[in-house]
Amino acid sequence: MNDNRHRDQRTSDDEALGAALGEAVARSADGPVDTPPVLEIAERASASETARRVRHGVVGLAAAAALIAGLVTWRTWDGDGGNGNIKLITQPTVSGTTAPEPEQSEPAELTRSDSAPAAAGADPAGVADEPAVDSADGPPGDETSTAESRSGTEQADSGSTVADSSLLTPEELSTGPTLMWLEVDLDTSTGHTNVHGIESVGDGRVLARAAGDAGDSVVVTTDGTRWSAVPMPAGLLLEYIDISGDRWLVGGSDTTDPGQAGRASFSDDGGTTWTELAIAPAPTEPTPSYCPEKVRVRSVMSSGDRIVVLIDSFAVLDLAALVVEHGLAPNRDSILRWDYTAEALIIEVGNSSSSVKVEATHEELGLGPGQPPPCAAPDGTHTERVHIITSDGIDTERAAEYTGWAVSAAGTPDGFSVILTTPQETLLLTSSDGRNWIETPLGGYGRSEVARSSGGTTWHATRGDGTLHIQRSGFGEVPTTTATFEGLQPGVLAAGPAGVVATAWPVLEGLYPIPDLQVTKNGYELRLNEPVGGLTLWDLAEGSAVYEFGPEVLQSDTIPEGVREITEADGSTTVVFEDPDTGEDLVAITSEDLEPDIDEMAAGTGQRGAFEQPPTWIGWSADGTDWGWQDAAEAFGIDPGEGDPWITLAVGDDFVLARVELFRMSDASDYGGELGPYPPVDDSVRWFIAPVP
Amino acid sequence: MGAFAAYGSSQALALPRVLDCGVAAIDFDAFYRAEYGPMVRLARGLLDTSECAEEIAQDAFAKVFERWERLDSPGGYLRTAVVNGARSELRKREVRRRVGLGHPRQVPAERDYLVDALDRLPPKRRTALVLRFYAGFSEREIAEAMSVRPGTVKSLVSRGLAELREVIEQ
Repeated sequence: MNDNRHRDQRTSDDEALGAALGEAVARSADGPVDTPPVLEIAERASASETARRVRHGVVGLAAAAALIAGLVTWRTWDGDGGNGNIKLITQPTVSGTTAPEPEQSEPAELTRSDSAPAAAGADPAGVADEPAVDSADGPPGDETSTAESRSGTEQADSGSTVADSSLLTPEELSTGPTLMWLEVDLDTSTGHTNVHGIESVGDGRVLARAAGDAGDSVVVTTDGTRWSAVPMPAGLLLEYIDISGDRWLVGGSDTTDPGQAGRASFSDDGGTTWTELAIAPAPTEPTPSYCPEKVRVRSVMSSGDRIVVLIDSFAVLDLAALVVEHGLAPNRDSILRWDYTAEALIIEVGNSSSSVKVEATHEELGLGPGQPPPCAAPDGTHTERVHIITSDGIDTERAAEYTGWAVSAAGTPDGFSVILTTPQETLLLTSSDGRNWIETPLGGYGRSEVARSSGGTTWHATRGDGTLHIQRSGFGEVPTTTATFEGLQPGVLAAGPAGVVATAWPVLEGLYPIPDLQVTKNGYELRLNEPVGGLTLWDLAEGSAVYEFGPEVLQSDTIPEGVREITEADGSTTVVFEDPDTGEDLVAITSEDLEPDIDEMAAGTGQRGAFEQPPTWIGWSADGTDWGWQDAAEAFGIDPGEGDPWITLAVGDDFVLARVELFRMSDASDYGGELGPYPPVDDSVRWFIAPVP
Repeated sequence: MGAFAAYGSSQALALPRVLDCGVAAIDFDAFYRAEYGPMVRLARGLLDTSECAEEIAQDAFAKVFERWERLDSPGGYLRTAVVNGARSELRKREVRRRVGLGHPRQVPAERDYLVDALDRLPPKRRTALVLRFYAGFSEREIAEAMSVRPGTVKSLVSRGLAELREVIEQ
């Protein structure tokens, strides 16, 4: 009885807690939604379809294996984390291009890998001559497509799976000397921890984000080892910073504003005092009071004492204002809460001692399904617009407005330079005063990493046709190519007085890796990569193969007879094998069926080899023309067994700084569970400096 | 169904079942207009922010659009796609949070303590709780949307509530 009472009580408590939670989430999540035109969805679907590679039937299983392995997200991250300041402590790592030494012993810290990275290691036992893959990134915003595309290409050289003998080596591409890296250690004496997000200022300094006793801060170094804090304005969630000139600029969002409004400030005294800029643009058309403009900062830059802030803005529906506008409440403070039904909005109006409920249909409020969104543009579109705001520190004005989004922006001593992607083309915008802008079409699209160097030089690392293009432009100039590397795709790019550095990955030739994998289900065993590059469905009871497909079948766009493909909601594939004689379903293999084996492979305990990330290469050039490339194992002495490196770079006056964090597949056993797919190795952040003469 | 249909509270949860049935008579445009708002709100509820919610909903609709002629139950497919998109984002966010990667998540200054507590739960439990108590999904619907067994849903909800209670008490 007591047990029952306790159980009943617990159930009742759970229901009450659950109901309260539901209400709390509703307060947070409910609210008006502007529905974009259905055409945008059709365009999105079309773009997604175009970007997606052909991936049918049994090949999908191999692709799913790669996806399940959790290799999808990590290269899409655009930040990093860290934990400390730096002091020089250790000897140089191995450098140069000598062959790796086998069976090398301790010390591990600066020991070169005893197993070559995947690109150079080139296990020849894989499937060669797989068809080239269109490795273009997916459309903007289509992360799934991008991830799949990356996974496919990045996996293609994995260990025992597909090793492409045509893979390049860093030595083959190098036309200049490589860097010699020194590992440096943390200096916690200044109280800064979690130093991350390093970036080159362009003038020889390197800045970074850090945590400290007084909260998050920005720190700067001139030698790569000693960091000092840069004072920041209070209440700013920093996203953009320009401290390259005497007039410092910061931009981000207001942490004290529930709406996270965009903010930008400048300082003429090294951050001691900050002056906020009025960056909200005046609306081009009169807008209702219930459609206030929301502003986000997209870049900040200075040229002399001229300031330019790029913002985008869009109208948001202020439901409380709409309710007041319709006379349903005297003012917004009198609205205690609201609820929604399928037909109406129910508003509770009053104060803490008394209240009444009033109701208005969605149609009455102008929010019905057939009515145009109240805050959409007159033409019904929801298009991103970039506003260029300029100021001399006293007067602020809106100089220009473009449809599209900014790719990069930089202030130079000569003026301002912005690369903008519009629905039609890519534009270079330049202005000497921030007011008058000159448009130069650059044509085409393409992912581009941009870095600003001293003297107004901007560097670009662009990917096109499977080739990494390094480009340079002076103020107002169309970028010109200084080097190309066929077979590489760009990672990060940084520049400064000590040259230009980049990370890159080989563009791999294979379509999808076919891991050595067996999955047993319902009396059948699916044997991937048997024969090599193909698969076999094995009848365990009969001891014979039901189906055997070679690589030519898996590479075909046609699903073989006897096999059906079912695409699941998350994009994964279920493959159903039918009885060749009766046509009845024999067994259905899903992505989930592969998970335990993938975990085993990830943990490194299986006998089938492990997935490996493609090698990350680090390239350096003094002038952008001659480049020396090295892989991470060679540069930093990281054994592939330690984890996969995520590298960020910054360039100083006479040094290059690298922050390296390791991620380890062996900890990915809870993929799909609660811990996320690809955890970092604890305390794995390492720092390296390469002196540049 | 109005722009604020469904998901308004733990009680008012008219799922678009009608669309699952007479789908042949409903074109995609009508389906989209009816479901866009609820799906954005569902994504907001799962993510506790507007960040990415519209993106996830639009991606889900794009998937439905691609398969419109082949889907027997576009409503169910759509919900699953939204839940999957949100879970994927939560997993990435969890990893980022643990290593200090990426952009800091923009957290409104004023948040309900329950939402704060929910934010500290592992993504799977959090998703199950939101689907159960905000979206009002049945266990079967949660199981379908999360691609887990119904028994797992019970466990996720039960453990999620227990952990939520612990977080609140802390």
